[in-house]
Amino acid sequence: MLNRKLTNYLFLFIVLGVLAVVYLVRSVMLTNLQGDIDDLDNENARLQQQIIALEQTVEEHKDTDVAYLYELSDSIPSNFSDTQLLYNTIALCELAGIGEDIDTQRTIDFQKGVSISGPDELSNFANGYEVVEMHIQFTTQDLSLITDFIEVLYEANQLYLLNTIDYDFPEGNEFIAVSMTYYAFYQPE
Amino acid sequence: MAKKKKNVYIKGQYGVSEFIYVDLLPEVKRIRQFNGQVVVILLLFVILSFVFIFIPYRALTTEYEETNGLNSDLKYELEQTEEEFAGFEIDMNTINFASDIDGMENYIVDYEGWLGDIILLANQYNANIESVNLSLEGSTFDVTLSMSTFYRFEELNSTIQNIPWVSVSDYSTPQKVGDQILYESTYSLGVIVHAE
Repeated sequence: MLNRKLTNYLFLFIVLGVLAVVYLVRSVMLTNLQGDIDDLDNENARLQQQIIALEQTVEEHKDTDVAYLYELSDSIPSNFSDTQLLYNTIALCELAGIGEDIDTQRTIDFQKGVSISGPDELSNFANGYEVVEMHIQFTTQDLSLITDFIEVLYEANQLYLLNTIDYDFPEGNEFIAVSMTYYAFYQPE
Repeated sequence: MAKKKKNVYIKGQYGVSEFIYVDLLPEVKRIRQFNGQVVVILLLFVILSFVFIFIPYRALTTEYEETNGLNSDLKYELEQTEEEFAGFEIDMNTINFASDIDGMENYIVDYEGWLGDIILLANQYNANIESVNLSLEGSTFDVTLSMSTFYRFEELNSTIQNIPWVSVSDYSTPQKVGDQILYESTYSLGVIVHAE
């Protein structure tokens, strides 16, 4: 027979054992269940976001004219052709009155695969496309040629973005050199 | 311990033994005394299990069922929205393409308008525009102006800073041009090409 003191100790140990078992069972069961609930909550939040985003997209674009969107492919052509680009640029110059005569000394050059370093938003947009930088130089006495050219540039079907203009104002009837660069965009190959 | 019972025999006078008491039951140990501590432990286990396991578990199970129900509803709603999306035949690639073009068109520089503003100010201050240098990439518009007075450059700079498309304006120290009474300074303007 166990003596009374030992029995009391045994009782205490068993009580502690019961507490430990209850705690362990509680931890395991509740932790697992809570984990499942948390996972579901996260998934629900993700689903909710997807639904809202999709609903917004539908609301914004359900009435969009698809035909208009397809016309936009003229703004950023799918195929780059250096000959085509050169012809287009010459056409733009001629339209603006920048001819190929001796006084004008027009030169046209381009650089393919350019990256735009700024502004950030423009740079991000341009990253998804092939960027070609056009460089035009000419001499003139008439500064309106510059604004005319820019107007023609912006009215073209293809999207062109003016990057730089550099010139000195003429004094009297002197000829000044005008240097301009602008970007043309193409869909990546 | 209880004392072991013994069978007792008494011999009568005719020599025939007479049975007095025979305990034929097998000798077994007495059942232990009922232990109250076992009951306490069991009771404690039951109560603790109820309070700390069953009640929270039941609450969590209910929460889980509700969350799971909501999850099923959302999945169904998403499926419906996707069907609606497909029904409108929305081409996201084309829409993103259009959005890119819109975004890039925001960077079309209003060169004529900007130069017009500068020419207007130059006339106001009797200044001459000597040269122009614009850069979209750097968001800068540098204009060299000349004036017959040294002291109006600062005032002109303050006026330029009030132009809505100018984010910042600074100018170089005016330099005398040759032997003339003419000073020249380059204004470096930070431009807001695309204001949100």
